[in-house]
Amino acid sequence: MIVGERKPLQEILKAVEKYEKVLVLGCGECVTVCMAGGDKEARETALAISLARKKAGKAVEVESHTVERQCEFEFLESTRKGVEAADVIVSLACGVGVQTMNMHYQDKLTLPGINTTFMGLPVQQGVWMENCLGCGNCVLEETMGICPIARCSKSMLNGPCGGSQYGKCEISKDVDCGWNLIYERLEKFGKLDALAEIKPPKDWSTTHSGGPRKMVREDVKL
Amino acid sequence: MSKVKNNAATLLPEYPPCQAGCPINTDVQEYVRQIAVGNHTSALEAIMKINPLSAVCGMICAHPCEDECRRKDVDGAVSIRALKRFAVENGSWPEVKKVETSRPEKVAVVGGGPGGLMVARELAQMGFAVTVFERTAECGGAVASYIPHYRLPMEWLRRDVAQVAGLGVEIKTGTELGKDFSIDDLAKDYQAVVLAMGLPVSRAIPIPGNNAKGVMLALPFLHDAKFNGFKFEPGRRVIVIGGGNVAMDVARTALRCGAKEVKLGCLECREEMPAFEWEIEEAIDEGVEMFPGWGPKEITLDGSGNITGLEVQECLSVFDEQKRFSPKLGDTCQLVDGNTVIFAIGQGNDNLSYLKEFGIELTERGIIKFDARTLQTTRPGVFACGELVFGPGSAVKAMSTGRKTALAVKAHLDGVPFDADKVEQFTTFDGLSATTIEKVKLVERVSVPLLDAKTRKTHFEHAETGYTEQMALCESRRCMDCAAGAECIDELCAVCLTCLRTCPYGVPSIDENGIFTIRNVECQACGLCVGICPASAIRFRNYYAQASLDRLEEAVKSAQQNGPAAVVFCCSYGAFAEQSFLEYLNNGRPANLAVVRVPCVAKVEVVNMLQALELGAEAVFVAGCEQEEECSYRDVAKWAGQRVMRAKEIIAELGLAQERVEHLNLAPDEVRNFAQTAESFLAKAKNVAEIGGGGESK
Amino acid sequence: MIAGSNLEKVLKSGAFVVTGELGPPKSAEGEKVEHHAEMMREYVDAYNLTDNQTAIVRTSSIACGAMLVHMGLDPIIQITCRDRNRIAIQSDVLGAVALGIKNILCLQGDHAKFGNEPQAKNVNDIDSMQLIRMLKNMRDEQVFAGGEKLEAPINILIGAVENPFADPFEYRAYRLAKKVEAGIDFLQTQAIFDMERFERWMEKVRELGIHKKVPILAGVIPMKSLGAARYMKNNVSGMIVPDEVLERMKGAANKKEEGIQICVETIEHLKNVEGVAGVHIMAVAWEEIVPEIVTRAGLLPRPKF
Repeated sequence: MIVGERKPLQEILKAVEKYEKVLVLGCGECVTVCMAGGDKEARETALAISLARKKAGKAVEVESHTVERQCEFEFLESTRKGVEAADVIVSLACGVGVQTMNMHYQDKLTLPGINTTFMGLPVQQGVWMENCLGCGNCVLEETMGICPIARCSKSMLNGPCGGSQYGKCEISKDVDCGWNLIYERLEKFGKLDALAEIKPPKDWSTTHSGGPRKMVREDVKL
Repeated sequence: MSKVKNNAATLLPEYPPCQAGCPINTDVQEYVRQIAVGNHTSALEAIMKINPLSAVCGMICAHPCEDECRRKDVDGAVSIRALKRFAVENGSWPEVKKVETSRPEKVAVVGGGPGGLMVARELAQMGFAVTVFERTAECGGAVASYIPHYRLPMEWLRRDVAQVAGLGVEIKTGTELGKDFSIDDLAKDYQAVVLAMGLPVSRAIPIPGNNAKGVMLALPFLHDAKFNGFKFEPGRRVIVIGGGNVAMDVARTALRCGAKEVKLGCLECREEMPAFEWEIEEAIDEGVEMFPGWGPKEITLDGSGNITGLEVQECLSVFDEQKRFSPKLGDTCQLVDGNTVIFAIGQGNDNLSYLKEFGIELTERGIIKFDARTLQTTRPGVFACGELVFGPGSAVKAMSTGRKTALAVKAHLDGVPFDADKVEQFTTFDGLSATTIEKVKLVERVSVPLLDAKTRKTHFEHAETGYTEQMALCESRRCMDCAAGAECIDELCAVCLTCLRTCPYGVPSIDENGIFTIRNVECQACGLCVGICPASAIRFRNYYAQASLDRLEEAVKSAQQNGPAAVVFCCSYGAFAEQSFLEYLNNGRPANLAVVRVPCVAKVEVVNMLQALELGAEAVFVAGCEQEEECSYRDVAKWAGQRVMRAKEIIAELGLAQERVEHLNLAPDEVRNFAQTAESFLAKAKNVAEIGGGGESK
Repeated sequence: MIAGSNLEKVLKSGAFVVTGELGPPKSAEGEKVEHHAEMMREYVDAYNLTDNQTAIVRTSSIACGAMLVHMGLDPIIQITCRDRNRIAIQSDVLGAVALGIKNILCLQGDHAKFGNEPQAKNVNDIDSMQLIRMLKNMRDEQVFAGGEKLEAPINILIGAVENPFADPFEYRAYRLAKKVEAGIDFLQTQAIFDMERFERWMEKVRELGIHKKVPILAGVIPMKSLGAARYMKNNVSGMIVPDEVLERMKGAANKKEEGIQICVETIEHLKNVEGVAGVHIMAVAWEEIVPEIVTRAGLLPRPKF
C-alpha cells in the first residue's frame, strides 16, 4: 500500500497561516492503515492547528472530515459542503488524493498535509518498509520474490556491491542489503547458480522515466 | 442495560449470561460496574429498578447469575450476590414516592411473599391500585417466617417491604383467605385477584415413630426459633431428615437453639444433595454431622415413647433414568443415635379445598389447576404465581413468576390476550473461548467474609459480615463486561489489523475464511483498540467513557475560572473508586484541577489530550492504575505511555513544552494521597503557564 | 596487446605490478594533479584517477586522465554507475579513448548520501557488471548498449574492483568469476588489513582458477594516523580493520611510521601470495608517501618498456 507521513506541523501551519477557515480532510484507505492521514490523524491535525493558532492569538475555524477514498471523484463529492465552506483544504491523503481534490474542486486549493513516501508494507506494527517502486516490469520471479530495484539502494540487477556487510546496506544498518536477502533465498532453494547469469541493463522506459503512465482497460470503459 | 447505547451500537439480540440467567433479568453488569467505579447509590438504583426485594436478595439470593457468569471458566464466577449486598448496605436508599393510580381497576394479591410483592409492585407501577392480603403479622412469606435471622436479619426484609408499601401498595396483615374473606368477597371490590400463598406446610414421612414426642417439623421449628426464642432443653441430640436448604437451615438453627449435637441425613449422596453447596459447607463447619445416602426407615423409641434414634436404610440411587424421584434402597441398615427428629423433607401448600366452591378447581393432588400460559386458574380473573403453582423454588424464582403474572393481569384488564410463552426470553451467548480464557489476567475471587464457625454457631447474629469497600472494588472489577465491549463499524473500517495486533485478548481476529471480525462476545472492554484505531471504526456497546469525555469542555471551562487549569484523565477503578477519592473529587479538589474519570485510561486517546489543551488547559496528566498489581487489564500502562509520548511529539512541534502532557502510573497509596500528587500537577501547570507555552486566554 | 597501455605491458611481462591512486582536487587546479602524478613517476606503473569518490565532487577522472596522458603517464580512469546513465557513460568512454586513455576501471560507486551532494539523484541506470559487459561489447563487438554499431573500434583495458571483505563472503569469489565472464582484463581489490580473510578469499579464487584468467592487484592503504585508522574501521562500509592493527597504531610512538611500516609489511606478504599479480597503493590524501612505500617494499626499479 501507499505509505506516507504527516508533514511537520510547522510546515502545515505556515501553509495555512493566511487562511481563516480550514478543512482537514482525511482518507479512509492507505493513509488510515499507515496512520498518517486517517480519521484519527485528521482530528489530531485539526486540533493541533486550532491549538497553535489559539496560542498565536490568530483565530481559525478548523473542521475535520474523512472520506472513504480521496482518489475517487464520487467520494469527494460527498464532502462538498465542507469544502465550499472552507477557505483552504489540507488533505492528509497521499499525493494522488491531494491532486484528485484539486482536479475535482478546481476553484479551491487543496494543500498536501502529508509527504507521500513509498509503496510498502507493515513489517511489524508501527514500522512500514518500502519494497516496490512501480517499475512497470516486474521481475520478482528472477530474484526469488525480493525486488532488487526497490530493496537495493542502487537498484542493481547483478548485486551485491562491495558495500554490503553483515547483511546490511552501506547506507544504514537499519537497511537490509536487498541482494543479501536474495542470496539467502536462492541458497535456501538451492538456486545459487542463478547468480552466474549476467542480467542485462534494465529497460527504464516502463518506469516514470518513460513519462507519466496510464493503465487502460477498454472492456470496462463506459 | 438497554441494548442500544449512546453511540448507536448495533442491537445484540442476546444478553450477558448473568442477566439472562437471573430469573428477573436484573441488569447485573450495570450494578456491578457502578460498584466498581464507586457509585454505590447508582448500583442500588439499578438493582431496585428490577428487584423489589433487593436487600433480601443481597443477603440470601440463590444467585443463579453466578452459575452463568463466564468468569467461572477463568478463575471463579464474580461474587455477584455479595456485591449486591454491598450495594444495598452502602448505597443510599431512595425516598420512595407514591405512584399515582392512573387506572380505575383494583387488584388483590393474596400472600405477601416474594411472588406476591413482585406482582403488587409491578401493578402499582403500572398505575393500578393494589392491596396485598397477608395472613401472618408481616409480609415476606417464607423469607419472613422461616429464613433464619443469621442468614437474613429481619430489618433488611422490612426495609424492602417498606419500599413496596411506599409506592402506594396497601398491605393488610393478619387476614386469611378462606377464613376472614372469600374469593367472592374479593371479586366485589377487585377486578383481578392473584393467589400467591406459597407452600407453608412442612411435610413428614409416614414412617413408624413419626408421631412420637420429640418429632418436629421444619417450618414450625424455624418459626419458633425465629420469633419465640425457642431453645432446646440440655442434652438434645438432633437428627435432621432432609438434604435441601431448609434442612440446612434447620440443622444450623438447631445448633443455635442449644442442641448438644446435630446430625443430618438424606437420601441423596453428598454430590446430589439439593441444598446449595455453600450452605452445606457452612453447616459442616459449624459441626453438623452429615450422613448422606441414607433413607429414613423408622424412628426408634424406648419404652416411654422417647426417641432413641433413627434407623436408616442405604439409598443406592434417588432418581431413575427419567430423572424422576424414585429412590432405590439397598439392604444395609444402621441405627443413628439421637433423641430429637426434625423432618425437613419438603413443603407443600395448605389445604385449598375451600377454593373449589368459588370456581377454582384443584388437581387430584390438591394443587390449583393452573394454565401455565394464561397464568390463570379456572376462574377467570383469578391468577396464581409463585411456589403455590410452580413448586418449591427460590425467592427470586417466585418473583420472576410474579413479574409475568403482573403482565397477565394487565392484559386481562386491558382486554387483550396474554401468552406467558410470548413474554421476551432473555437469551444469551456462548461461554468464553479457550484462547480468551488463557489471556484474561487471573484475579482470585474475593471470598465473602464469614464469622468463624465456632463463634457464629452460638448466636443468631448475621453470620456473613459482607464485603469491605476494598473487597467490593476488587471483586466488582473482575466482571468482564461481557458483550459490552468493542464492535467494528464496517463502513469505516479499513481492515488495517492494528486492533488485531494490539488487543491483548485476541478479540479481533481473522477466521478460517480470511474474514476479519471483532468478536464482541470475547471482548474485555478495556478500550485499547478504540484508542488506537486510525479510522475511528470501533465502538463499544456500552461506552461508559463517552459521558466523561463529553464533559471535558465543561470541566476545563469551569476549572479555568479558578486559575491556570490542569486536566487529569484518570481511571475510575480500584483506588480511584474509593469513597475517599470521590470525596476528594467532590470537595477536596482544587478548583482549577479538572478530573475526568474514565473506566481505564486505555480509553484516553491522543485526541482527548489535544482537546484538553485546545480548550485551554495548561497541562494534561494521564493517571492510570499501577500496572502489575492493580490493573485488571493488560498492557494499559504501555499504551497510555506511548500515547502520551505521541501527544508530546505533537505539541513539541507546535512549540509547546513537552512537559505539558505527562503519564503517571499510580500505586493505590499515591491515589489515596491524591491531594499531594495533585499539588505537583498544579505546580507544573502554573510553571508552564508562566513560562509561556503560548498566549493563554484568561 | 589489447590496448597497449603501460599497465598492460607490465602485467603481460609477469613482473609484480604496482599501481597508485590519485584523488583529484575539489577545484579546477590541474597543476595539483600533475604535481602528485609527477611525484609518483618511476614508482608506479599506472595511476588510478578516482571518479567523484565517496560521492564528493572533484575534477573529472577523464579530464585528469587526459592530463596524465599529456605527461606521458598511464592513467586508469574510473567510471561509477552512480552519476551517469548509459548514454553519458558511452559518450565519456569514446571521449576518453579519443584523448589517449587506455585503462578503464568499472565501479558501482558509493551512495550519494556519503558525499557532499547527498540530495543528488543516484542514477544507477546500469550496474557495474553491466558496465563491464557494455565496455567489452563496445570493444570486441564494436556495438553500443542499444545495439547500434560504433563507427570505429576502440581499444581499452577493462578493470573492476572486488571486495573480499564484503558479504556474503561465500559469494565474493564467484562474483569475481562473474566479472571475469563479463569481460574484465584486470582486477583491483579493496584495501587489505585483514590478511587472514584476504587469504581465504584468494584460496577460493584459486580454487575456481580465476587467478589464471585475470591478474589480481591487491589493494593497500597506508594509515596516516590513529584517527584515519579508526575512521576506516567504523565509517567506511565494506572495510575490515582488525583490532590488532588498530592496537599497533595506538601503541606506536610515531603513528605515520607505523602506518607505513604496516603497509610495507602487507606488501611484502602479498608478494608471496599465490595468484596476486601486483599491488594497488591507495595513499588517500597522502600521495607523497608512495615513493617511500614502494622503495621500502623493495618494488624498485619499475620495469620500463
